[in-house]
Amino acid sequence: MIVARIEDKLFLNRYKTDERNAHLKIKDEKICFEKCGAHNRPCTYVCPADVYEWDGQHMEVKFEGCLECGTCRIACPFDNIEWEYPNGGYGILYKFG
Amino acid sequence: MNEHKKEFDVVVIGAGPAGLAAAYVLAKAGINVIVFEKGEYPGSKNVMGGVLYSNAMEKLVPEFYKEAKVERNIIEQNMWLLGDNSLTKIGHKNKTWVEKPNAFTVLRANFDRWFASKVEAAGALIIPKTKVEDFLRDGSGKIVGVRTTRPNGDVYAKAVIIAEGVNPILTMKAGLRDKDLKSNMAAIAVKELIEMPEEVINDRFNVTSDQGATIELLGSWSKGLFGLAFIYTNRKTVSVGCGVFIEDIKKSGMKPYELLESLKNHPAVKDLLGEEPKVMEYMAHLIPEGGYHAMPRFYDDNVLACGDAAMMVNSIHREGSNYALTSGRFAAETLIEAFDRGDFSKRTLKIYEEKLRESFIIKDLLKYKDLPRTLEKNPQLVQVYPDLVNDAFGKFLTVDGTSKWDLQKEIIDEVRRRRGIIPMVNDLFKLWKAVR
Ligand SMILES: Cc1cc2nc3c(=O)[nH]c(=O)nc-3n(C[C@H](O)[C@H](O)[C@H](O)COP(=O)(O)OP(=O)(O)OC[C@H]3O[C@@H](n4cnc5c(N)ncnc54)[C@H](O)[C@@H]3O)c2cc1C
Ligand code: SF4
Ligand code: SF4
Repeated sequence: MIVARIEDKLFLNRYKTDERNAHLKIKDEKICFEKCGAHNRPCTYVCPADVYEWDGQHMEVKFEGCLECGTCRIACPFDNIEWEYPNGGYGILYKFG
Repeated sequence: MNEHKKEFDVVVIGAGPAGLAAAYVLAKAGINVIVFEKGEYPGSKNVMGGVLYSNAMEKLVPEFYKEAKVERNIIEQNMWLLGDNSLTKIGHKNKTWVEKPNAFTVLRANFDRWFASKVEAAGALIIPKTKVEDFLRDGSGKIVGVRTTRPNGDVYAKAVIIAEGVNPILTMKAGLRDKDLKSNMAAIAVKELIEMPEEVINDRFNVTSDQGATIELLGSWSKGLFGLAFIYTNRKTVSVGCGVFIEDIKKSGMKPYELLESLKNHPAVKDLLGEEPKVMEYMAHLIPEGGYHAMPRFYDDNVLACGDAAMMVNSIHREGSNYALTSGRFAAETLIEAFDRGDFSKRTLKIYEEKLRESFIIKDLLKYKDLPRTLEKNPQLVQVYPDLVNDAFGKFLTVDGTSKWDLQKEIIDEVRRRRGIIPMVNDLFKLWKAVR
């Protein structure tokens, strides 16, 4: 089986990153730490771009690779993600779609 | 934009098929309309499997396909049921579609951009790179415009059309939807665009240039989740993707792109895509799958919602863009009536809902209203049956000295073991009720 790496997939895409404005933020990391373990921290696997990475203590949010689908927003059991679209003109830029 | 108070007749939020259709009809009627689109250009954020039915588009731009950015005229549609090592195909090819096209494949970044140019030519103003953040309201709380991310980006209008797509951020802010989508109301779909020379496509899909085929796939690729996959032919590329309910993927612990890899690694799909398919783009988008019961209110004073924002998708027939185009057109026609009456309140805008109810949109969604829940509660419908069908066909067609009588008995025994005759009849009944 060809094992595809998500990095390779994201590398194919064009993005215009708004370095200064993260459009995704964790509202309260304590909830991820204390409560969401019991739910397996769904944001770390439902996201099609692997934006969320749990290092055992903290949640790293690699918002630059976000495809703006909205899955994490709906899947987070604690409504713990401050979610918005990137500012106008920024974010994913599909060539084909 | 400059300092003075900016006023338009109508503001449209989002330049997808819903927003563009609405703006097109309004502009052609001489109404002063502005469309805001957060993407760098219309289509730069948009993904779709790719089948655009011609009927809805024809009603807006007759013979659109002669000038639009379309890929291939779909003349053959297939359903594949995948077992681990087997495949059962059901297909339909139709010669009449050659003369009278029923559907085309499209790539949204191209198609939306073309449609937007058409809308601009009709007189609408399209402002890309601009996100609408909120509504402007008057003293009584009625919507009178929008706030955008541009400096001094407030724009006033007599009515606002929300065509923001599946994430109902502004639909909720407008008060048309009380609660956000739940994880059983949307599917996460991932898709890849694969490069393939035109002749190879023609060869592998048994079509001629310009003409194309579609394949939907059910079965073993989804590792037991309820999901639908697709392979569509474009001119020089092939679209491959799959969607599963967020609820299911959440329970499974799998990642959406792992399922896509599982699909691409099925031997039958590999045969079609080649050993090392060259991927050109990787995409993801939600599909609203809540159906009729999950729809928001469609209108209020000075505001209307259409397309995905209003949950108008029937994924069993992969219809969504045609609902978006049609509801956008209805919203515009309603506002034209509102301009005639000089009244943009609910009293007039209810015409929109009447139009929706009289049309195929609500009629079809009502017909399938129980399907999402039936599928959710009965995963065996997609987990067991594709496998069973494959094994049954496999047995039936393998000549190994077993008599046909014994063969039939073996198949029935197998059905009994895997599901049981009564549950199976029950399943079929449930499915029939849900799509009846
Ligand atoms: C993988 C996949 C496969 C599909 N396959 C098919 C198919 O084969 N056939 C079919 O008919 N349908 C299909 N659909 C469904 C179809 O894509 C949608 O139903 C259709 O695109 C809905 O159109 P829309 O205009 O309502 O929303 P969209 O096309 O999503 O457009 C919304 C637009 O609004 C913009 N926007 C959103 N918020 C803001 C804001 N705040 N400010 C400014 N702009 C904003 C977005 O950038 C976007 O351009 C598929 C969908 C997916 C995801
Ligand atoms: S799903 Fe929500 S609560 Fe759980 S880890 Fe992710 S962000 Fe935190
Ligand atoms: S919006 Fe989609 S791509 Fe972006 S972080 Fe959330 S799940 Fe991942």
